[in-house]
Amino acid sequence: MVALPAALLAIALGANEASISDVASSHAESPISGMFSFSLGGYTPQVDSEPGLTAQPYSQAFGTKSMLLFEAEWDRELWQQFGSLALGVSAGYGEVYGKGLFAANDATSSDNTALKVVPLKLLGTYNFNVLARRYGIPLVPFAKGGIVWELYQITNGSGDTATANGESGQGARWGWEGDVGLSLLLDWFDPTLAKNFDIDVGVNHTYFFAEWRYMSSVRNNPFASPTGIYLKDGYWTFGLALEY
Amino acid sequence: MFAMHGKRWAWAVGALLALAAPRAFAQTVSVGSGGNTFGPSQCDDSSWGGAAGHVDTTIPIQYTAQIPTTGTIIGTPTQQMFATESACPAVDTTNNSITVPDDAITLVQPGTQITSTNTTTVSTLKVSQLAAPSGGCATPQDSVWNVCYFEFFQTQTFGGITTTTTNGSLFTSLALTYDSLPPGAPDLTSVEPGDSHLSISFDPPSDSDIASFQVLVAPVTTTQAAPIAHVTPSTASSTGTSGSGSDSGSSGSTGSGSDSGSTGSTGSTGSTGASISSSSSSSSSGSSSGTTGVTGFTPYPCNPNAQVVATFGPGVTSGIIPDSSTLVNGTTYSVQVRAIDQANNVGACSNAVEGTPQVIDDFWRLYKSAGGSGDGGCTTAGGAAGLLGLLGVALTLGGRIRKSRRKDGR
Repeated sequence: MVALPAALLAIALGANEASISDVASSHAESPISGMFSFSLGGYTPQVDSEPGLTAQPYSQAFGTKSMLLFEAEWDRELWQQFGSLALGVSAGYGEVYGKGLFAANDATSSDNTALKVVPLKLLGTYNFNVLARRYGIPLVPFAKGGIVWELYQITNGSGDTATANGESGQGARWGWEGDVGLSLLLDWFDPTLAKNFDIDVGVNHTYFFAEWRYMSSVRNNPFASPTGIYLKDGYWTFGLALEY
Repeated sequence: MFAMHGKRWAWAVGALLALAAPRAFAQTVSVGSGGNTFGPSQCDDSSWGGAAGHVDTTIPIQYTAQIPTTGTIIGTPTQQMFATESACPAVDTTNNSITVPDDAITLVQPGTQITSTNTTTVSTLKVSQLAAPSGGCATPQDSVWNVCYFEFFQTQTFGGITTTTTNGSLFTSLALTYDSLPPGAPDLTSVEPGDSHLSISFDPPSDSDIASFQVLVAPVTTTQAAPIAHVTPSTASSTGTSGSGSDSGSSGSTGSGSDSGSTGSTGSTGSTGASISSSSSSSSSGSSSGTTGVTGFTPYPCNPNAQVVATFGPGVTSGIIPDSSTLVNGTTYSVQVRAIDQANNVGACSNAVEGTPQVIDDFWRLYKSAGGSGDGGCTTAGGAAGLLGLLGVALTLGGRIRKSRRKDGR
């Protein structure tokens, strides 16, 4: 039973087959149960795309700035046959700063204003790791989809939550997400180190990945039609993943 | 075998030499609480015959006398401690004594006996004692006092062999400063209008002992005595400068009282900002004799109607005022900044710059005024409950599948 994953690993790391076989023969790969990953991406909420807006508030306040969105994700692998299926959760944080405008003449003021977001997600992931495990090609395409609940806060020049007509500039939006990406199996570069990583701390595989995410957080509640502040965006993100 | 004996013999000689050699012991002297810098607000002239003012603060000096714990002490260990504006004297190793300077304030009498190892005692000194030699609490001065400590003892080690060790360590590391010189005036360079607040930026004076900065604000409707630079809405920045920001507290402010130096001062200029109007007020010359010799610096009187609305820490030279509450949009305020040093001396006020808070549209207001349909936080609670539910489902699902896999032996 334990020999199979080891053999798969050896095949997956075909370019270094001799060395990984030696290691694999003396130690079997530990069972895989999940994955932890973190990523950074340039996220630009498309607030101005909301239908019916008479101006472009995001551009007025922030120009063309993106926010650097950091996200951490934990997945539990539920099925590992032809590729793997996982269910996971993720949380992130991003902020973008700009300047408020004088109400009298729309000139730029020295007052800061900021949009801060905390996207929380429930995601399903399919990793097509067959190429890596059976044919030694260290590439793993993957796709994700899930539900997003994104908290946001808008701050004014004093650093407090902004208000307009008594309405507080903080809330949350529901939406969905669809991602596609490609992971590079870093074990391929140094199989011995990868094996030791498994033996020492139980991390079976390490990946670098590039991913295109489309996050659509535009609903006041998950069952309503799109409305509310538009936080949707499609953006590239890059990160590291540890499969354990 | 011989080699082992040889090693033991070497160890014994080494130990003997180590015990016989003069050794330094780690006495400690420190101020019991608070800092080492004191000022007029803690000094009372009546303690030495002058005019009474503030409560004369007692400075607790804590010292620990440490005598050797090895060997036998011969005689009685003695100690001596005093404060002096001079450097701590050297030890006369022949007589195992020190020569106390004439200006010394005795803290522990010469020859006072140490009763036990690691004796910790607290002696005291009055702030007025530090100020008295220079003329009293209010006399401009920046005097530094050294607390010197001397300890003497003899020990006997090994039977029949008497070794005398003299410990003459003196401590000059503890310096007490009496500082009655106020710090110089900051140079307020920018006051930017914000929404119910103002953003300010200033250059600090060159003093190294600044503890904080106070920001004073007064509505301009009151009589204004200080030079004014006015900032209008939409002004990008104010770069006015009142001069070099030299340390008036250390030297220049102690002039004789004549007014000769004031008229030629040009320190309040600096209206190079695009829309800052600036004017020098003649009132600034009233007591500015201290500017003699300081080019381009004019001390400004603080606006008597101003209130302290914010306090910045040392090194913080920009920020939003006030700390709490708000200013009224559309009302023009005069802003000044002053420094306070570690001895609680309050420095002169900076140049005054006016600013008028204005209504500013932040991102949320821009969004709502553009007809945005997003609402505020009312959906947060429900959403949180929904998300937590989903997370619960996810974790439960993961747990069940894992259990079933265990059952299947996978």
